[in-house]
Amino acid sequence: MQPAIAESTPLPNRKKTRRNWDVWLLLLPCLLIFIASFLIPLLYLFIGSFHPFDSTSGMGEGWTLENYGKFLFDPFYLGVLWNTIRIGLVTTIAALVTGYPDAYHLVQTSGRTRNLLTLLLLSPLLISMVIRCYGWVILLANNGVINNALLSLGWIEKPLKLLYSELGVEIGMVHVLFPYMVLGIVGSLERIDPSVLRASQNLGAGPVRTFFSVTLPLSLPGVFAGSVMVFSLASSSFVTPAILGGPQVKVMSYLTYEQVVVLLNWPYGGAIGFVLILMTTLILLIYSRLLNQSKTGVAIQ
Amino acid sequence: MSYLRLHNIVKTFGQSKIVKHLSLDIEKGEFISFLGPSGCGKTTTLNMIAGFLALDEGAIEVEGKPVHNLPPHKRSMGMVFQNYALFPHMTVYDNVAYGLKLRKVPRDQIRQRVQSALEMTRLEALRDRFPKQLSGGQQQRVAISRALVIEPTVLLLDEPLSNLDARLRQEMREEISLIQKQVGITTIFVTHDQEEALSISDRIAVMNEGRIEQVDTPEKIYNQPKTSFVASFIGEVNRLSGEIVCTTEQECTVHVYGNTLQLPLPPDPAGKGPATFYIRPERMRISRVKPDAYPAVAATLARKVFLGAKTRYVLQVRDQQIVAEASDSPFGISDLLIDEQVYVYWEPKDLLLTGSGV
Repeated sequence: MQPAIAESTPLPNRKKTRRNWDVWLLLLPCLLIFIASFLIPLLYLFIGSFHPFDSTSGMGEGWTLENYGKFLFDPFYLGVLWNTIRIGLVTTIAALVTGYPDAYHLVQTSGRTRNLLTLLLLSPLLISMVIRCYGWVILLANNGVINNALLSLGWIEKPLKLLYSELGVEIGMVHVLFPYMVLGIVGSLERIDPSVLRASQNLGAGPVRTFFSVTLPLSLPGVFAGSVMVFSLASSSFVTPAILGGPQVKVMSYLTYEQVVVLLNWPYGGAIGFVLILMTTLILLIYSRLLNQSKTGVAIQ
Repeated sequence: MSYLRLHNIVKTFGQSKIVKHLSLDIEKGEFISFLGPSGCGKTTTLNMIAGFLALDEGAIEVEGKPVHNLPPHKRSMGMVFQNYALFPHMTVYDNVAYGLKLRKVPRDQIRQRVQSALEMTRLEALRDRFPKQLSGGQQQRVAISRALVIEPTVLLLDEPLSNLDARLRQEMREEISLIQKQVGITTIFVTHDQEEALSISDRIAVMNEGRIEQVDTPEKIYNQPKTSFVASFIGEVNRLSGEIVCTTEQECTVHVYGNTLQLPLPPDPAGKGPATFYIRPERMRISRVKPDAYPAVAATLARKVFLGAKTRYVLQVRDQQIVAEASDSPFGISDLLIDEQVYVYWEPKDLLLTGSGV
């Protein structure tokens, strides 16, 4: 933010480089694990996705774009991509709409109440993914708790298709990803100086106006952080769509699994994985651009 | 009738009463300071005027109309916060324009009024900057423009200078005073810094433990403190213990360290008996010989501190220390030595008698 000051004083600069060394040293263990178990395999997979499939060895010789071509010109695969993105977007929006009021309330509390609410908020993360999903199966099934209740109340005539549908997947996903959204928003709401809100009121803005003119714009970085986490986790999730979506709801991670583990087609599995990474990154970039444009100050923040 | 009227205000937090039956009348265009130590209730009172805190008892009136039941956004009070509280996501221009946009002022008028507000505080060049790109003094000026541009009924300043360094503080103090005179706006300035309060206020309300101890002009606060708290909080004082003896209703004398003085005025009937008197260090004088014309008391020079513009003498008088201050060539005598036997004396009129608490 203040490059002029940093450049005009050489002494702190030298100090800064030395401190940078310390930082790198501290990062080293984490960095090594990251490189060895994530970046290198990812690179390997990326290179592999340009090899042809060989039924005996899995990965054949030579170079080809066939894997990507197969994906991009097949309506079935494109449909799965669109499903995945749609589930990600719906989950993110639902988590945002339900999470924001929650975060807003959480910031107002303190002490014991706050600790209890935070524990409650994190509770979905304390239960195993599979167990939580089967819990939702009991609730969402055709003769499950929700349908039975609605039927006996006479509000519906035949069971709603909640389980093995996209809606079911989204419900289960919001449940588990919601805490990430709330924590992201709480982080930026907490950083808002309360006197800024008072200043807004003092200048003539009521509570609603103050929220939309001051609180909301200042919390956008948290909204962004939460959305990034929820969207990327939702669009890459595997267990929840598999259990709650069943065979009808196919997502990208399932396709990758199918190719790599069932059909042993590593090159194509790699290509599908990379298409997903690319799309997710692209959507997040567009999203951050939109947020930055709507409120210039967020970039400064 | 007064412009802003605080009537019998009470505020309680839990068990403790922070503001105790506070009443004050403020005239239009007046610059009044709330001065007191931290925890005296001055900021609480300011927040009640702005509407951020509800009153437990009492009333606040502007031009005879009660405002204490209005929410803050309907009170039209301009406030400058201690940390300025600028909107970090808006430029200087948008910060200042914020209040006008809310008032649905036509766009060209907004531009005009923001422009003149920025000119008044010398900020035109910085209008497109964000608050984080400004220095403390510049942020301060944005906060003042933002509060003034809405033409509020009252300007409230909550320790606005406490985050600035010493030199800037003095500069901003003068600037605030100038702007206030120029706009002619009724202003309440909350501070714990007596020098600030003394230098810019029309009147000062000295507060202590939720009460106003004295409301007066700076000169009167300093020279005629009404309570012992005011005497010792504003400036430095020497305390002398003595006695007030009245022979008749009209004739009372003060006995202090073997001196008998005529009182200029008969004291409060309650003020009879043992009493404490105050004398400012700069009113204390030192002499080698006992002066006949003045009340005096024998003393020993304990310490001498040269402070540049003045010199500080710490004297031992019986079991207490008395401080005298003087500019150069003190008291017409030179080379006072440590442990030298001298006399401290003063003019009878410089003996401060506080109305209560003596």
